[in-house]
Amino acid sequence: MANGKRILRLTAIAITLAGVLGFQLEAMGMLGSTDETAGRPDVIMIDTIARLESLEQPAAVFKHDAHTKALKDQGMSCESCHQKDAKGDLTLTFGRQEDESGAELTASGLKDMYHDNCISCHVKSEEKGFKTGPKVGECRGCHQVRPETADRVPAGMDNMLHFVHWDSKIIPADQGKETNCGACHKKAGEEDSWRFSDLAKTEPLKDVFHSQCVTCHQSLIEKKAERSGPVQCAGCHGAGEIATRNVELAKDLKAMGGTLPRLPRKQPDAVLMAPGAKDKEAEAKAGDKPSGMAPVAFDHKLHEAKSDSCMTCHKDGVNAKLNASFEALHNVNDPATCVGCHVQEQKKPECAGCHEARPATKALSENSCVTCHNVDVTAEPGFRLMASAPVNPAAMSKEEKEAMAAKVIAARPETQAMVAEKDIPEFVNIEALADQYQPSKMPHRKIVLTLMKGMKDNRLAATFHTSPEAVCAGCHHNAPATLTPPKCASCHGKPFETEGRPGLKAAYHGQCMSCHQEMKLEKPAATNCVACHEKKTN
Amino acid sequence: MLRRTFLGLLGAAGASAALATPAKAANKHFGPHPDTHGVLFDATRCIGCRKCEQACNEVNELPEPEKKFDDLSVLDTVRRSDENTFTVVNRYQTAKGPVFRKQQCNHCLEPACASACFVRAFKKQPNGAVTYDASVCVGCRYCMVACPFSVPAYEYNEPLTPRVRKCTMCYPRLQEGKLPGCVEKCPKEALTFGPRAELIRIARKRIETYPDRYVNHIYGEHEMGGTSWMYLSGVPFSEIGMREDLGTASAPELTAGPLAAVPIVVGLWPVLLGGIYAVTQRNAKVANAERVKAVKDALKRAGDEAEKKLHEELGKAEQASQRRIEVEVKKAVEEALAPKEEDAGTKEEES
Repeated sequence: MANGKRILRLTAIAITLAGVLGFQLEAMGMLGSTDETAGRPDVIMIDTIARLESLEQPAAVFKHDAHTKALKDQGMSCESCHQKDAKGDLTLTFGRQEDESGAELTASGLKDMYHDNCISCHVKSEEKGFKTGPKVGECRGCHQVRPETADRVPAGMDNMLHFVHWDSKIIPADQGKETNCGACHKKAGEEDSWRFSDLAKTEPLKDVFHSQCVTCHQSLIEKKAERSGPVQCAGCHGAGEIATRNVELAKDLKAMGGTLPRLPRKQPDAVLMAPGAKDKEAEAKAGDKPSGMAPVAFDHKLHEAKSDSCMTCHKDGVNAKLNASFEALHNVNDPATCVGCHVQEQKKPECAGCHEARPATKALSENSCVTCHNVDVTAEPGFRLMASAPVNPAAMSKEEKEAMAAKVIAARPETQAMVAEKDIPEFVNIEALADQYQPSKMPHRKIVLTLMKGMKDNRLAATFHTSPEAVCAGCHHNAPATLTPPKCASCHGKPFETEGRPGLKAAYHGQCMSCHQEMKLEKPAATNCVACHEKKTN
Repeated sequence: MLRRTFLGLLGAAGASAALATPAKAANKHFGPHPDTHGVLFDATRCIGCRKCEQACNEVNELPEPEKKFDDLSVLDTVRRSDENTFTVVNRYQTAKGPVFRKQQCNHCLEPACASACFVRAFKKQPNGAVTYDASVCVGCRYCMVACPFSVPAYEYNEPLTPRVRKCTMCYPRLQEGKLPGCVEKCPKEALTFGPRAELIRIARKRIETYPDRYVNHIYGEHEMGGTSWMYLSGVPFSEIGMREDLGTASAPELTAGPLAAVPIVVGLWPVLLGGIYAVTQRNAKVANAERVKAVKDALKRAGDEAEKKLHEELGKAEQASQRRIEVEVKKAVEEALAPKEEDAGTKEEES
């Protein structure tokens, strides 16, 4: 009997403890799946008075898209919260016009303004029978200690989205012109991203974009235009919405034939790029002196089509002078540089088979320089790039430079030069493991032709694989590019004889398997020995 | 007396601490044998074909496994080496896709198993292999507890002559000038055999040449004081089941301090404690002797006094009795004299 009492008491204690613990976890938000509470793009934290005084309560959570939808449902408009300025555009601030009135509200004035307007609207909505937000006394409804997190992706405007705007008939053309650039860009002929505009120097960047994009989209909606851009937060900042938009735009692009029309901004087709100095000071010092390094003929037109945005290369805007120093254009690890971007391209499966094995950080040699720095370079023997200055772009006019670059570009091959098919051995018998397996009959020609197929119509490959035999070097590495490369066994013998150089068996396996893996060729599996060499039966 | 004991203890403790420290410092610059060889495992090269397991099984004449070596379904579960399998290859799912990792004895530069073994059954050979001598093994299995990589396995099903089993880096084959079985068999040179210093150079060069491919760390270069078997990986080592919490101190280095204290404790403490005991004993003895003497003195004094008193009393008694005797004598004489006069009278009468 006494024992039973004790057990009863212990059970009661255990239940109470579990209950308290459960409540604690619940209160601390540790229960329930975290997936549901993944941030939403429209969460805005209102802490306007934080710059006037220290906050008494946590910043108020405001879900903008939820309010836009609620207002629409109740037949109200943006103007319920945002006033229109003198020009008839919506202001970005809530319930006031900071810029026009000039007089800044005091902290208590702001506080009252937010509380009065928010709560009165919530009350009214409830009276109308709609689901509504927190009212008087429900402080924690807005001033949450652990609010939902905002999860916004940068809006960004790539070439495709830009095209949608400049090609749009809804945005009227500028006076006396066919283009409509003036609708957004102020200075004709000097159009650039707003982030480099004068306005962006004084105002926060988000205000610059929101005041122009959202107000324009909203005005088009009000005018009941055929098409308009998003006014919801998620429209530009939601990862899901952007993905959906990109799918739509990709369909449109396909319908247009796959190539985006060029931006009518009078950008050059070809550019003669001369090696530049690191900064303006060094450049002024150099003056008109020609550089020893031959210039590069840059195919601007081709690269426009290959990049998502002009700002991929023109990091400081299209009006700023491009930094043409070695460092700014040859950084292997920075995809925004020439070399870095080309290295990135080599990561595609059809390229990676060979290129993954080639160290990206390989020292640049005179041979690799001349692939790009070849304007007016003749292939005469003993020609030294740095020893002569064949062209001095500084002393040439813009037209002359463009013409010269265009000439070099025109001479570039359209497709990869190819070794005659009959010169490619059809099969190669590999008998290195003849003690355990039958010789491996490697379909050499098939492999070469598959590689060639991967680089078909690839201008990058065509330009940089400078000779037909260059492709051979993918496997026949560290040897001159020739139709009769040395045998693998002449370098690769027994394992571990030369520091770091694989033995013959590992060299074969390493090359075949790594290439198959990089090119994402599932079959044959690396562990399926007999797929390449059958087992000896005797 | 108490104060003296305390100071004595303090001095002894200080002496043992001072003796333990130099033993630890001497370990610090102890490099591997210049001829130390090893194997570099490159997880980016391993394809998980289990040829190394097969080769290991063959060269060590181990029992045939349940599932054949070309059955790759065993990779679905993570296994560990045991008394019949000195090496296993495991597959780990990582962000970079499946990655394979071979597991076997790492042949530490300062092996924990050897330092734990009190019969010296384990030996770090000059060529890097950690070998085992079953003839001296007593089967305590301390080596199994000591190994940070949980490698040594025990033949529990061998009732009469159980042995500890583990990879020997093919020590007998190395003696013949051959490669370890697994290294020889690997089709991709995912295992590179060579002098340890050279392997580190090779590993560094690979990381340097393909910085995107590798994690910038050679596992085993410093782990547990360095191992002969080292690892390169494209994913963090913890993702391919390797411990990253081991630190860079070797097992003997970790235990050298406490172990160096053992002889001091064993040798010095008996002397110290015996000394303290002797001093206490002597003090007790002296105190006892003093007490005995005091008692003796007191007794003597009391005896003397009693004797004296007795003497006095006796003297007094004697005097008294003397006096009494004298008195009696006198009285008797007087009495005697008186009747004589009467006698004389009578005698005279009679006569």
